[in-house]
Amino acid sequence: MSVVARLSANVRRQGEGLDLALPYLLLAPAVLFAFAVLVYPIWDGIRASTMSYRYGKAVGWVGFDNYTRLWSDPQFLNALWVTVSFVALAVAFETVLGLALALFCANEFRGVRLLRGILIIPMVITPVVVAIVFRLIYASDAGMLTVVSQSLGGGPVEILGHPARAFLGLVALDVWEWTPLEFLILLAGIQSLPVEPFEAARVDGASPWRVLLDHTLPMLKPVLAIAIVLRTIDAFGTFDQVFVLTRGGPGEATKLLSIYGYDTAFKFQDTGYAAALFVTMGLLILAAALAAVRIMKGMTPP
Amino acid sequence: MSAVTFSGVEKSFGSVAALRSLDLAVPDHAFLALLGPSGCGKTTALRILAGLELPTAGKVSIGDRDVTRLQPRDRDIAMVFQSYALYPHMTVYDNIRYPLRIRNMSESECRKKVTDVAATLEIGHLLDRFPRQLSGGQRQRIALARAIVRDPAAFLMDEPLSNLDARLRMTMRGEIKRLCHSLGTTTLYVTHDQAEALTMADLVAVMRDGVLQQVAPPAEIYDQPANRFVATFVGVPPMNVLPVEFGRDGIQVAGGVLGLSDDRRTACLKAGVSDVGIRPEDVELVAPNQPNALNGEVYVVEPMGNETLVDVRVSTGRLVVRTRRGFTAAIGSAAGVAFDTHNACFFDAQGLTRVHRAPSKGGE
Amino acid sequence: MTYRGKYLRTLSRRKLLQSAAGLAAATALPLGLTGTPARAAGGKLIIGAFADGGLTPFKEKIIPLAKAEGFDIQFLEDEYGVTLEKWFVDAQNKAGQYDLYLLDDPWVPQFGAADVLEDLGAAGIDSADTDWIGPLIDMGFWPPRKGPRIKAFQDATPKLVTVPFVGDLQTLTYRNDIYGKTAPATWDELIAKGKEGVAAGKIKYPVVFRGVTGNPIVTSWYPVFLAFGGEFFDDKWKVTFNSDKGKAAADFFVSTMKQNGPPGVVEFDSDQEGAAILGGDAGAIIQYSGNAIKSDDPKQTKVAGKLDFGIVPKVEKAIAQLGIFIAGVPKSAPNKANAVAFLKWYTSKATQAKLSEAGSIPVKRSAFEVANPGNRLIPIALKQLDAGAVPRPRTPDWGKVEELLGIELNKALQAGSGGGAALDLAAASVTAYLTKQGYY
Repeated sequence: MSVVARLSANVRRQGEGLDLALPYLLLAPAVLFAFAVLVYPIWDGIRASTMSYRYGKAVGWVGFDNYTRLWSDPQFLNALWVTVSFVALAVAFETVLGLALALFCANEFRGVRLLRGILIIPMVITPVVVAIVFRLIYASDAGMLTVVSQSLGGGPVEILGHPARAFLGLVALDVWEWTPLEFLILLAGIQSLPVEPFEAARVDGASPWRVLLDHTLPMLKPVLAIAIVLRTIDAFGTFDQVFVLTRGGPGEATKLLSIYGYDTAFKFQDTGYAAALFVTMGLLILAAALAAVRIMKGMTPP
Repeated sequence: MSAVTFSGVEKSFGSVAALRSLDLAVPDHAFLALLGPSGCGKTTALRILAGLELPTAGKVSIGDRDVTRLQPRDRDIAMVFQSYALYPHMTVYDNIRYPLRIRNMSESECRKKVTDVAATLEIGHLLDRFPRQLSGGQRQRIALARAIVRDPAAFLMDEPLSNLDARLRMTMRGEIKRLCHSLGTTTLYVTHDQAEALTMADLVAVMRDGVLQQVAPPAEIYDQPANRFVATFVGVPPMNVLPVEFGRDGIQVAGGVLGLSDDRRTACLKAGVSDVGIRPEDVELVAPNQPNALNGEVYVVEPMGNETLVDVRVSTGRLVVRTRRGFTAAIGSAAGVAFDTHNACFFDAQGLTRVHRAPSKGGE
Repeated sequence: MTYRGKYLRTLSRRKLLQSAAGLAAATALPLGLTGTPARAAGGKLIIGAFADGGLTPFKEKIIPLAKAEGFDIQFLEDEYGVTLEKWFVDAQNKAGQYDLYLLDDPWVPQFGAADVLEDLGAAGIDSADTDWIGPLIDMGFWPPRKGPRIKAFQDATPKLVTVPFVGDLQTLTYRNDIYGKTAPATWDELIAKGKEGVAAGKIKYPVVFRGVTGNPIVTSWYPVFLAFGGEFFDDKWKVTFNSDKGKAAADFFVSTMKQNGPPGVVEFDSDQEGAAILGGDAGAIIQYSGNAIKSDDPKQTKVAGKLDFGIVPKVEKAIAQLGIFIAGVPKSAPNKANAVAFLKWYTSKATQAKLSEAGSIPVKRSAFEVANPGNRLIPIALKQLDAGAVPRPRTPDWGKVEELLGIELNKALQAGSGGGAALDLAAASVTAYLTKQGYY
């Protein structure tokens, strides 16, 4: 009896005391961490975007002046235009190419595993290294393209010194590096689709082309949307490649928002203005992502 | 509507042979069930007919067209899949309409056909839904509707009822039979469920390990099984098979002696028979130690409501006896078993049926 | 214990030790580079620099000397493009990761205006020493002792916040097999004789320069601009670079010089420019001292013995751009006293002579006149200093100004014409920017 009494004295009933606090105690580190690395920096960035800076110091609160200034700044408008066209063009190419490769590699044939492995290599190379390699390809004095052209009797190939070509060269670099990501996501998506509806479609009379249009693409839509949103967000932040390849030139042909914002913040020490630029850019990306998610929802059956 | 013919069709996946020289002719308008345990090659045969697999050797014809190398879309067939294979991103209406749309049928014509089919299958109220909003039975009907909406040369059904619960399966069984009967289209129906095969089909083709065992109408499959495999695969509970020896007065089975007519006895001896097969409903329970009966021990008694199954252990094996409702016996009690050898069939050492059940003296 | 068991145990222990060592190295590395070092005894000193050939003699010859003097020097190099932001953040946040920055001189106004550097005059560096090259020591002050000042520092007393470190400036490097023993005195001569050299098959292009937008193109255009007699700002910060002389310089730069340069010059930066002269393609280039030492080394140049140095060619004047390495001590330096002591030692007459002998351009006049300068460029550099060399305008906003000008110049260079119009565009955007920054 005394044993039972001792036992019951030690027994704590569920849902009392520490039990109530435990979930919050366990959550606390994660919440604090999230606050430290996410909430605070964003809040600080927004605060900075409403300040005027001189010589590296905040000198006064200016409200939304930095934001209104953006829309009359030709350099910002140019960078915005360059960025949007870069993202649109690069992501479009990457998606189409990645989809084509994924459709091809979703089939089982000899060597397909090796091919899949090779196809994702560009993605795992450090972006700066990719940019350096592309600079070695594009350079008009001793670049690979020039060497090939000259060995065929042509003249030097000038890419980075020509606005349109430099821009397309940058797009090509991005396509080379990030098509594998789209490929990987879409391949996984295709491989997770059920097999039978496709067999049913073939029996029902659909040609391969119609199977692709009527079934593969519609069934792949959610995955496709995720891949596009992911790449779009990522492409907006492209920086290293431009930094190495062209520094935004020639002129401002490849000056992305990221480069302009970086220069504004660090080279020109216009911290508040740069913060406003990046906050605006963040809002644009957010809006684009939300729009994409909404479109995606509309496309998926309930 | 056309006959379907497999001539010497073989299929192997790597070193595994799924089909060994299949010869099978399905007459026009017939409903043929391909029956067999899983892995017997029945689904492979169907997929070869659909064009989803190419045979390693042999020829497949629909009507007088050789379709062996044609694309599925050029074969003029419709197929119902085990998983229904509905298009998840399309409404029910678009699912059913799809085979018509792909053939560039006008929208008004499509609408009429789809509505007609939907009425036949009583799914008119589901047309605006998506497959994921439907129950299994409803999806099954959509899949059927999509197959019958156009007028193909043949229907192919791959275990279409196996994902349904038992009650629904029985209902659909009857419906599909009626539907196919009224359409009159040649149908190949793959199933591992002998009840489906026997109840629905005009012809049953039993397969095992990639080899066709027997093609015959259901009654013949049941009464005149071509071999021991067919005999024991078809029928619930399966046919009892026991080793048999021939004595001067008749046959000896598990220590008991049973009479046998002279002509059947001669035929058996000539064929080198080694086993006797008897269906549970042809066996009766008698008191122990009777002449012309076998002695055994009641192993288990299974009341089924309308009847009772009694499992009796005899010296060389077991016998299941189908007997009247309400029968009781203590487990372990002694029992006698007897049957009329006219109702038995006899197998040789290879399992082939050498002497069939005598046709004149059937059942009870 | 069985033999096998023992073997396994030693093996795993060794493995453990190895991985522990690896881990220690991995954590120590970033600590060593970025962590705040403890206040050290024995003359510890952390110097930050950007990678540049101009510092090679210092690195190879002077650091060992300093170590012998008891300075425990840690020399941290970074890419040019990232040093400004890195150091400015370090100084502003008082991170104390460096004791001494070797700045590019246009950055001095920015650091000065932010008031993050030690007053080295107060710390005992003597700016009045007459041995200093005048224009160089002038660059050490914020606000500047001469020329226009930005408004916020109109009445402030100039302080010596930085000390000239390597006296780099632009000079002409030319091929003596094209131009003979004396440097081409004028741009016309440079182009004309260069064309003859191209015709004779000795070189590919008369002149090579940097065309990349921003700092590179402005750096190459600047001496041409100065040669044409251009002035960047007046003494009220009014934009004057789009004067007739400035426009003539820009037109000359984007048309004549482009036509006589390599086809892809728009994308050339200092590395391609250097490769063009060392590789024997170019007749002449205007450059800083980084490549000078390589010019006589057959391993580093295809045309060893054929490269000579001279002052920049003129149109009206022969003035070069000054672009010196200049040392500043952040207020947050952990070893401030060592940094000052090091600078005193480094700028002493004796060390400067050693620097000159090591092949680096010194910052004191006496060192230019040593018997055996380690580099043929050194006497030429003095000649250029005396002929005329000016720093870039002393404003913290120079980076933005250079950027705005560079964009327009680069576009015009790409088009091969319209240099004058480009300057008007640049002048408008620079004026707008400076107006917004409160210059007028």
